[in-house]
Amino acid sequence: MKSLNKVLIAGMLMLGLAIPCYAEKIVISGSTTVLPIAQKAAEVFMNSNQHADISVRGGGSGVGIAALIDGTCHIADSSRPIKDTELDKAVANGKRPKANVVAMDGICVIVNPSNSVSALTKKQVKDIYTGKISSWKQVGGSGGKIVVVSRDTASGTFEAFGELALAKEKVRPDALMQASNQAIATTVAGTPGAIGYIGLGYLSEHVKAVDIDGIKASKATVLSGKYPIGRPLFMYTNGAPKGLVKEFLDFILSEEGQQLVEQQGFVGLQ
Amino acid sequence: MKKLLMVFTAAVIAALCIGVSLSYAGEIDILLQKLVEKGVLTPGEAQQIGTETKEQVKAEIAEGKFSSLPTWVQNTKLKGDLRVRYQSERKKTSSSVQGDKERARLRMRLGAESKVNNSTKAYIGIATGSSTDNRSTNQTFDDSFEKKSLWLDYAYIEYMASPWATVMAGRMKNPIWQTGDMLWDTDINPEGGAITLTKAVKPEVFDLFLTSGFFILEDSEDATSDATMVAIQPGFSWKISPKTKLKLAGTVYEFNGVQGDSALSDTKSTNTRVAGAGGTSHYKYDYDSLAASSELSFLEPVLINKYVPYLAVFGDIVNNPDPNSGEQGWLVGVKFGKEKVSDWKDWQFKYQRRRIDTDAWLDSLPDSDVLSGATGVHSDEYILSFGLNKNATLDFDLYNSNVNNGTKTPERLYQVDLNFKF
Repeated sequence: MKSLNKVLIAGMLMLGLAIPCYAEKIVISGSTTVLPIAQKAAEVFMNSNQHADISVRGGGSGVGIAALIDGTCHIADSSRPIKDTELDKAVANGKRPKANVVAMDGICVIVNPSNSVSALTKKQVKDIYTGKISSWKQVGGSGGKIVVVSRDTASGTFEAFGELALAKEKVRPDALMQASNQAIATTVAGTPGAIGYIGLGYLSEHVKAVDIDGIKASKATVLSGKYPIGRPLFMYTNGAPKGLVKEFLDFILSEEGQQLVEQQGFVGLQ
Repeated sequence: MKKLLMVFTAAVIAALCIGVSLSYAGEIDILLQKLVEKGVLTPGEAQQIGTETKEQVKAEIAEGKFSSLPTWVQNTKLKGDLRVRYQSERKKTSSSVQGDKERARLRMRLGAESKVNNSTKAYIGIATGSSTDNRSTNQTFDDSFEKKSLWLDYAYIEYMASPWATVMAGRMKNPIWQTGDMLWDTDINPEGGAITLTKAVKPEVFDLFLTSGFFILEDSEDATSDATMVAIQPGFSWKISPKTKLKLAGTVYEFNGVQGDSALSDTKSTNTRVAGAGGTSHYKYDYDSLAASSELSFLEPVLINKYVPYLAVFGDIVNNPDPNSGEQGWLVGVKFGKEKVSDWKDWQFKYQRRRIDTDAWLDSLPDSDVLSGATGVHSDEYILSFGLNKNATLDFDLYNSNVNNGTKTPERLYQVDLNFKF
């Protein structure tokens, strides 16, 4: 009897040791724009969920959706809606991509507070960034050369701005390329003729956000879809999320998760 | 409770979308806006519900669950194009005789792609042209306004055996990749079966593909003398950088029942023949050939990116080892401008030079605009495409062609095309 107890105790101890070792894995792949949200959320989620093992990688929206269709990832990050051709492929492969909106991407166009220009059209923004407009006088300002400030080409914000505001046209070669939203805000704040763009979350009193097509950049206008340089950000799952994937998405959509979203410079849904 | 209300709202909106029509999407946005105004939903929840619902409807359409339209409509996509052409041919048919010709021509193609089930699609296309010309779908304005004929251009089944394996059978769009039309006129739709295998070694960066086809050229009463072709094409597509892409493929062609055959349909009689029994001439050589195609393309190429958003250099080469001479063909070219000309002010210029020896390739398959599709010819081709509007283009095409050997019969062919895709 004594030896049976020893065996039982030893067994329970082994089981107890084994349980913490068991980890459920989630693979996330896709958009470089959504990547910082996924990375930060995964980091915080894993801290409070020891059994979760979340691997996050970029590659682009197309890569993530292809991986979801192939079954090599659980969540596909995407900065655009899934394409019809991708849906056809998914259906043919027995997959049912389910869109989960996790945040909004809103990009503010900013100028120096001393600049008299406070509104631009989306076309004027495009013409400024592609080099067709080079003087503030051409857009109703008091004159002077426009100093174009942009994010570096590796950033998701650069990619998003290129798609949403520039129709994928190239930024003029003499633009000052900055490595962060903060660097852009600092440059624009210190340069009277400068124009830049930053995530809505980085807006401060040191710079002035200009209205685009008559719409003021704000959380409300981005969420309503009225602001022209905004878009939803997705995490696609195969069918309705279940198990740990659902727990993770619920976490991102929670108050804490949405705070993380805003810390990364995006617009939270709450 | 609020979550329950959100789920209910999403369900109602989804039912509206699916049951009525996507054109009511604007009304759904109004409904969501009202719910926000009344404080039932936050703006974020409205955005989430609206976007996710639209995405759900898209997915349901892809699955064929969109119930307001008949299933066959949901599963069928139509596409087509219409081309009106002015063509001027300036040529010498012999050393002294001038054979100039001017023509106005029409091409219409209409195709349907229909989903049979989740893994199978059927493709059917009709086009103008002639039943006796495998290389053209043109109809010349002629014969006192007589009506023009439509023919079956293609009809085939495509079965996706797995995400990486596709099987095709029927009269199909040519599955063999090439950069120019030196070997295959783009109007040729081969008949037989093909399998395409693809492997994304690194998705959207490095893809491998292998296409194999068995095509029937001529069917005779005696099965042993049927003329057939086997083509095996391995290749890869490599995105070297976000703006640089290389595609390369090699093709092995094996023909059966051609050497010794008296004549294949649509031959231009430029391949070498030998006299056979009964006074008929036969193909002297076999046309088992090795070919390769390559294209290197650049988005926003350095130094000229301000003016040229896209640049590509490309080439095809073929070698037929059977004859001792006259066994090679090559095509090289460059194109720049917009990668696809599909809207107002889009433009692209393309130049390609080709030379194909007499017995490098079967003379019933090359581009019919180069001396009617003969072998033993060389040509320079210049194409300027300009976008007039969405899906409407104006194209100028000039060919300068001549034979490689013998009496020179230079031909200058001008084509001005108005193209409309729908």
